[in-house]
Amino acid sequence: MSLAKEFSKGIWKENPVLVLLLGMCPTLGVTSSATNGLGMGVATLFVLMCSNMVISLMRNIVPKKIRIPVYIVVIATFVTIVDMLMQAYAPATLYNALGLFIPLIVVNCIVLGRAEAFASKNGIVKSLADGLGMGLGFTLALVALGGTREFLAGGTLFQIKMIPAWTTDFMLPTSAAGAFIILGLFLAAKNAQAIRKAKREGKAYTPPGLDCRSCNICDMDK
Amino acid sequence: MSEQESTPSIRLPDPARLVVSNSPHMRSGENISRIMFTVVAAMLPACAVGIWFFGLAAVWVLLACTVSCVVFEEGWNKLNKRPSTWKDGSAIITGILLGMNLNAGTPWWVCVIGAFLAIILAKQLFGGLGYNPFNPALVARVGLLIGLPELMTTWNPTHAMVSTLGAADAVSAATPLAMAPGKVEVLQMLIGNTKGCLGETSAIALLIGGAVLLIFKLIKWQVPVAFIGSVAVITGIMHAIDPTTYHSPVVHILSGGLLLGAFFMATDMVTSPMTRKGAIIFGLGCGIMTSVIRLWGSYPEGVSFSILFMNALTPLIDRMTVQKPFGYVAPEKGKVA
Amino acid sequence: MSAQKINIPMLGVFLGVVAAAAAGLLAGVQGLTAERIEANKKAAISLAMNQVLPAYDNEPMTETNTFACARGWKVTFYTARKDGQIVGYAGKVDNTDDGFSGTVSLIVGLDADGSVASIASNGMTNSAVIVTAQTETPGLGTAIAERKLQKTITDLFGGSEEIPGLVGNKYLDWYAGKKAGEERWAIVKDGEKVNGKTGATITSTAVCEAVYAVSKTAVEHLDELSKGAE
Repeated sequence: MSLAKEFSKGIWKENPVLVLLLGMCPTLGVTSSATNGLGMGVATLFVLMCSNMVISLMRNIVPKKIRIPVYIVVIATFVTIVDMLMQAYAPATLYNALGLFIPLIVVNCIVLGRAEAFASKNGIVKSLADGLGMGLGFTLALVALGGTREFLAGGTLFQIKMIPAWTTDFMLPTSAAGAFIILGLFLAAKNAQAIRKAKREGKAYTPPGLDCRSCNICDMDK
Repeated sequence: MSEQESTPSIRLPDPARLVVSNSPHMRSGENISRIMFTVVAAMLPACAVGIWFFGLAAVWVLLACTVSCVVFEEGWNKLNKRPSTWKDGSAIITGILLGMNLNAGTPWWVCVIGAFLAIILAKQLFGGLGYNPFNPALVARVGLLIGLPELMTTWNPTHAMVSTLGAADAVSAATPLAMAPGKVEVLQMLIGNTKGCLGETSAIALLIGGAVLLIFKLIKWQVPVAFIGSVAVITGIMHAIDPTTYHSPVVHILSGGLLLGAFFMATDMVTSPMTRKGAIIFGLGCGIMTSVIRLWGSYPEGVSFSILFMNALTPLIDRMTVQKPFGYVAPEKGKVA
Repeated sequence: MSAQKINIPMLGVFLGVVAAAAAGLLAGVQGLTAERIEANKKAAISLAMNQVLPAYDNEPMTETNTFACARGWKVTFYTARKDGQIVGYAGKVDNTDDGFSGTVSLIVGLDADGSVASIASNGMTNSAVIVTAQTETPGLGTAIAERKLQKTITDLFGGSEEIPGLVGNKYLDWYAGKKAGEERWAIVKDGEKVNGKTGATITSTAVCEAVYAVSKTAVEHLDELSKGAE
């Protein structure tokens, strides 16, 4: 695949949230507003690019037996760096809102998933493109989700009232239940689009492979 | 299907047009819309009492909910090019039930949001009537309660309350469950002269409706009996232990949406278990959850949450309580091995 | 894989090297950011301090007293002086345990007699109560605790200026001038002046209890407070 394709697949075709369904914890947990979604997305993007880069550099010297611990150490390091940087330089309100979820980027499946499935097999430039694309896809999905939830709740976007006449807040979309409902609607829309596209091209719709082909954590199929 | 199977030697009828279920085959005059309109008739007494006590405001809420439910149902059918379904009456029932679960002074746009949650989110997205795992009216009620807690927990006083208490006191009067134990007037709750949702206040009217449903065998008696019975037992025990903090079981049964929920919503054919044993388990679960939420939860009322929770368990209950076929003899343990 | 000989000590050394490198990197970043993080934390406290205290010329952050209140929470008092005279205290209580979905932390400006201070800002009388941390239900519990100005899209393009000072919150401003006596404060939900909100009783009570505890502790320990910090 070309570099541009590696980059763009994460944004739409293999979007980590809407297609691969990875990283659901931050997706559902922090997207009560567009700002929170953006903050979480950018933090994950940073970690993803750094970890992809380092793991791609190390891919030939890491012994296979201990690659998972090594990846976790690398990811955890970058997450801690992000945590400290945000505490020092990000607005206090953003850090307070995301505080609990920043350390949880360590266990975000997207980061370890890309390290294992992509960066450990590809060169540094490709890995960077993959990390950037996946991170951007994640960020866009989170901002869209957060923006939708925020807007449906009170007509605000990025904490700015878009419709001044909207005075009664409707709290369902910003509640935890609302997160699941809106995410479900997003997934339905994405699937409907993919099915329609496949139909137009005269192909049968197959969901993107989430099976052993795209994963090499175990040696099942080898 | 493989190639061979698709060309059978015997010509079978088109399976899309003909559905043959297993025997026994029974004929009856029942069909969905007849059932549905009997249910509507059973709800009328409670609605009428609500309109009597809360006035025109109640009519508007009921109308707004019913009309918007039908509009959403038909709109969805049009959008998806499906045959019209509003005549089967299920959308109308959902609309009336939703209206009965709202305060008489609810603004029209809240009714429309509720109808959207009920018809589109809870019913049509799951595939329409018969496929919805949760009772649509309850999904809407809980969605609105979470979404607009302030609007959903302020109640219009009845006309009778305004004339006896004065306007200001009537507005600030508490719902029976939020009052201090011992101060509740049971007689007023029987006829429906208390604060609350417009369809849940009158115990007598709800009991009449419930009786109609039972006589026409539209609901299983096990669900309301187990539901109300378990609430009575649990709140009775707590009342016996400490009558100053816990209401008497009579108050618990007559207040809030318990009767409405037990007769009209927990018994929904689509979302409650099919077997008799399952119905008892379902009712008990609802009753226990309701009592726990009412006595120790942070919400004063738990009927809607408990029914939704048990709705989610319904497929499991059904699987657990499969009836054994008539004449089936379980193999003896020793022989099988 | 099986043909390859696994050298377990080698694996350990490799992992150790990676971990050491990570630790070194982290130490470096921490060295770079520690100062700023500390400064941010201080700035957050002193910003709240400036908002709840009248004009002072000492350093309240250095003049502190801590007492335990009846509920077992620790209340820290910062003493504000002008020309050597005590002009007020800022009482801070962190992580009270009664919020709806977590703890509530707040900072309360007190007059020299222990009553909750009133602050005139933007033509309104506000109470010197700021909730510094809470995790209440957005739009419901937060309505009681937050002093937040809602920006609208017209402000964004109209370019209206930022107004300094406290943003009014009718639930918090109820406490202005209140002084804790023996009786706990009641939750008032109806009428012009309210400190409670229907549907958010628990948050209302949590804030009320915390403000009461600060004022009550100050009244009880007024003698020690007026002597200044040890």
